[in-house]
Amino acid sequence: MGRIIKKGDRGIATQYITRNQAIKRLQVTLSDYRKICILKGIYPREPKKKRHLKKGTNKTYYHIKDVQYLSHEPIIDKFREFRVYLRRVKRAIGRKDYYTAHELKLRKPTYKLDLVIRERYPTLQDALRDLDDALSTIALFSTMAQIAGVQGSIIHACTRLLAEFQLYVIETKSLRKVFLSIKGIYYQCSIMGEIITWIAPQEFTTRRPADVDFRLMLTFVEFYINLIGFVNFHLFQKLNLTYPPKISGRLEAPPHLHIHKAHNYQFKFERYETLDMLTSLNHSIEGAGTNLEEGDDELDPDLMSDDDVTEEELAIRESQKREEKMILAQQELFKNYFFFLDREVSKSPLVFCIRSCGGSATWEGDTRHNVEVSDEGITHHITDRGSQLSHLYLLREYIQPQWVFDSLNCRRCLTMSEYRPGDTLPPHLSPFMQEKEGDYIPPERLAIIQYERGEGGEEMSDPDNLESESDKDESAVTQVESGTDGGVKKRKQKRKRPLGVGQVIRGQVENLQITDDSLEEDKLRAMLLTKKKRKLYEKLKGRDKRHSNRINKLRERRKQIERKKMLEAK
Amino acid sequence: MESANREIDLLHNLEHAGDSLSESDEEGVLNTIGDIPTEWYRDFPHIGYNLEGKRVLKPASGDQLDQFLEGVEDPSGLWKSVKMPNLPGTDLLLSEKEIDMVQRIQKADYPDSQFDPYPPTVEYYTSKKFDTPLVGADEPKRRFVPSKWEHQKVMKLVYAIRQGWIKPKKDFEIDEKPYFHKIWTDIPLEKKDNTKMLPFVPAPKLRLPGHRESYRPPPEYLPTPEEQVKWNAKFKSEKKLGEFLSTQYDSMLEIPFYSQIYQERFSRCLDLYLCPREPKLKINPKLDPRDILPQLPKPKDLQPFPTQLAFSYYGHTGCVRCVSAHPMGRIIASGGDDKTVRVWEVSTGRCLKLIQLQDSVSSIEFFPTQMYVLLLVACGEYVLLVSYSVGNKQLIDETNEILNVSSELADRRGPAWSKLSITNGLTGIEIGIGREVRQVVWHKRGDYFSSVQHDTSHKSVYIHQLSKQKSQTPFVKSKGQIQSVSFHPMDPTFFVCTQRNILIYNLVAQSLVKRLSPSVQWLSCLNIHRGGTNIIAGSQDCKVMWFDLELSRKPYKTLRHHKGAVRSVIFHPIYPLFASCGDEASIVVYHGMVYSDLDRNPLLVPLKALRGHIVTGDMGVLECVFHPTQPWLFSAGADGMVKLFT
Repeated sequence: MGRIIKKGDRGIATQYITRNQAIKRLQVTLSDYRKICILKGIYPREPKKKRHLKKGTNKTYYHIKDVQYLSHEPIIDKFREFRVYLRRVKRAIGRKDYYTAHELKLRKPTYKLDLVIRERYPTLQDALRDLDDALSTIALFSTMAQIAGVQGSIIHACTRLLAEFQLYVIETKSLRKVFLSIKGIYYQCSIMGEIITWIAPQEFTTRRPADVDFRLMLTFVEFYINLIGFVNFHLFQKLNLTYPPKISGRLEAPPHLHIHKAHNYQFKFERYETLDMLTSLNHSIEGAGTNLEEGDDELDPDLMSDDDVTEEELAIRESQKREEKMILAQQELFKNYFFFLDREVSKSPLVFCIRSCGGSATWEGDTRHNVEVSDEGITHHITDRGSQLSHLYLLREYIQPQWVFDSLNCRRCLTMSEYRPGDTLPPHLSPFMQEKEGDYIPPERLAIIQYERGEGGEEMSDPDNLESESDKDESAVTQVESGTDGGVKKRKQKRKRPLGVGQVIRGQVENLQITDDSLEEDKLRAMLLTKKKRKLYEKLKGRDKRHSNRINKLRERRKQIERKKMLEAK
Repeated sequence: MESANREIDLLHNLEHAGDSLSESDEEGVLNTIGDIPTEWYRDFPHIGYNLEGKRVLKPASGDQLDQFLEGVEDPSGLWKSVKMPNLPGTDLLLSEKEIDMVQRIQKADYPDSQFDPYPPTVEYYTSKKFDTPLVGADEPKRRFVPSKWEHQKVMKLVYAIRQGWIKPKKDFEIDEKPYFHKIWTDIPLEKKDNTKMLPFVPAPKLRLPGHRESYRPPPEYLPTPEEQVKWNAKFKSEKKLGEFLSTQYDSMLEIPFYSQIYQERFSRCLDLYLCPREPKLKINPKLDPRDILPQLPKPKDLQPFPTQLAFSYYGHTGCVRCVSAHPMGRIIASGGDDKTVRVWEVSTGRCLKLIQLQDSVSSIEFFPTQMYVLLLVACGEYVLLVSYSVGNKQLIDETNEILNVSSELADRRGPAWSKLSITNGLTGIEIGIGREVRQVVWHKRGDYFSSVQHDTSHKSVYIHQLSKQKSQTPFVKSKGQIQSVSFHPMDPTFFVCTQRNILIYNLVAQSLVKRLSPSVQWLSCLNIHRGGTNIIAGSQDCKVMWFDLELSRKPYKTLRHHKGAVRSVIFHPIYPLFASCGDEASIVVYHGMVYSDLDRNPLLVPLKALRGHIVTGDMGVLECVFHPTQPWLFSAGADGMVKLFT
């Protein structure tokens, strides 16, 4: 008789442990475990066969190796030290031994995260790749009012770090896209070839939401402050600037920040003054501007001279060149423009965008330019409400803020006729959409794409993609035809002679019926599939159906709206 | 002393308040309340009762005007009188001293003006040294020796400092080194050997917003009023986190604060640390569902096969249970619950013959050759051989001839062959089975036929011989509920379809050749391919199975095109077609090509689902039969119709 194998001795059961088991193994509290997991970036893993573990299927499992890795982390010892420290202080205060308590407080255990960050992100590039969440969180906390449980020093640190990062983006002119959404403002920039997108909330102060655990959020904030700090340090170093940079727009620090100067917060951010974000954005960093590094995007000339390149590669290079040109245009978009921001306009996003595109901005009470409203150097006047303008100056354009964002996204200065104060603005489109074939593209977006293709100097090499979209609108019959060979031919013929308004193409009834038949045929054939494949087939069918439903709905609605507009115009 | 006297006066006055009242007797009012507290009468308008039992009313207390007037008359008494609480109506005038006392109390001063709060101190213990000390002992030594305990404490501190437990302040003050420093070099660090580590899965990035999320989306993205109402009717708990309704704002100024932003970020944080990550295989977005479908020849290339409804044969008044096509294909016969057998002309749809029977017809079949105009009918508990007398006179006569029952054989064991009991111009034989007959089937040559009864004993199948007019049971033992039987087209082989298995018997050797076991719950029907090596069977659980006898005992293919129980399956006698019909009133036609070389498996292609019947009483199409020469299909429906698909 073989040896009896005990339960949990072999196989998958030895590989995964539950969270409680991990906590017991590491001898930490749940909150400390959570903290170490967040700082070290350890996440639960899904066992391949959960039921083989026989510990329950609705549990969080960690891989044993991850837990072992955590057990070697010196920060865990710091956590234990901190627990001891807290106990000692408590005891001292209980005995009214304030001297000891004070002495202990001076020796509060702290830890640094530099090694953790280097371990998680071996290169700066890796860190930049993971900056989306960090920036979004920091941006959220920087707009937050100081509330119970969130120290002011953290909020100021967030403000400061975000301002530094935005200043870097301004200096390198690497802002690529902006999107005003109802959830906040999305920014996208490209640094060292990495695309970084973050969302900043609207600038309002709110109450602390009841259903959010700020202790958890603050652990993330702690890590992100460190991450962005180190990233900023390296980015500024690349610009040959010292870090921390001297930033204008300091405010007097509120007195409460100085109270526990030495032992308040381990990062000693209380030494940072509170910042006025807007003012700091509008000033250049001291010493910057002269020694901008050349962009890394340029292609190696050796590569370019290669003779034996395929046509595809050439086309790729061509498109890369065009893209570079567009980016250059974007960086110089507002060069020589001087914007005046009216009172009610939300200023910091505008200043950020204008300065990232080479322009400059001022407003009433601006400390940098210090000019009057009537100054003749002002070329653009941004205002939200037309009716409030008391005096119109002749030598400047009056526009609404959306013009700046739309122009930045289109990478060219749009005509201002639609953006005059008091006018109904055109739709603000998401610049992040990457349309695939068969997607619905709103006509406004279509116009932009077509313009971009036209300006690129390239003849509409593959207009089929775009035009097929508009073709589909015409009639269902043509859509059906495009599936068969005959249909394609017909469409090509048709293209030679453009359709007049109200003209109807004669469709073939037979074709339609055949598709009906083929549908049923598909249905019959699908029943021959194995269960697994049949499910996949049904899933795919459902996906395609939903997709086409969505598109048809949008298309139909747009048509109705257009029709209504036409009728109203008449 | 004066004040004391005054107080005594006051008390005296109070005590004799009653007396003072009694003094007023002389005026004629006599209060008789006796010795009770006067405050009992405080809330009443009277102060007691006189001798006659009448109420003595309170003397009118002067209102403010009276008081004022009193004050004018006697200015010295103004503000100096006090109302006596227990003597309503009487005022007491305060003296100067009393007023002073009241005022002092009001100022929180001592009530007595004479009281001195700071008398000169009397020294009990003085700093002056006595000339003669009270205790004459010597000074103790400890007054001259340094403290041991203090020394110990100092030594403790010294030890702690030496051990480095206590650090001088300078060391742990803020180190002036900058917190952020260079951690990454331009040359990436040497990669650690990560083979022992698990692969790190980076968290997926958040999805980027589309046009819908814009503060001014294109108009087609805005919700319709109905959608708006639907959204507003939703509870907060019904809305997913991050779900929102597109809204249009006229200017950037009007965008409100997004209230869910904290919650969204929080849930992202939770995802980052609590969500298991694993690389997931995504379905290729470009994958066309058609690519998954099996590559089969197009039905168009496999024509001919029945594609559409050509004819409906009206006439039956109940559900049509069975249909059979004549071997020449000009006429068909059908029978059903209305106890009739009808013979139809295929091309015109005319009912040539109506045979009224005594019981409902469950199965019907034409004589397999055109030698006789003979129908085999399962009617109730009888199997009938009926001449339908349509066609050639000679044929009819010949048929009538063989339908004569010879009297010699009458008293045999087993089912009795006798002349048809109903004689409305019909000639035929009836075989009394004793059990309700489920199915009748001819052998290909026409001498033998078999019947299946609703019976679980060994007598559930009979094989009858027409020439000898004799019936026999092929089995000695019960085979369970037999659903259907069939003869091999060429060999002396007999196929029996029980509830779970298909049994194949050699009739000559009288032995079981093969047992096919499809894993289904309840078989219902079977049919044999003309080659004899392929079988199709239908089951109550919606499956049609193709068996290749040379391949395996398990089905070669299981087809699940029906949504109801499969009632009948049938091969075409000539074309490579087969069909199945089911209770959901659809008939599925397949291409079923059997190749002569053994290397190639049969090719099955579903061709067409034919619809036309209506589900009546949970039954759809009960039997379908191919035309013997054409790619046509006849079907008998529960809706009382026979249909022809061409």
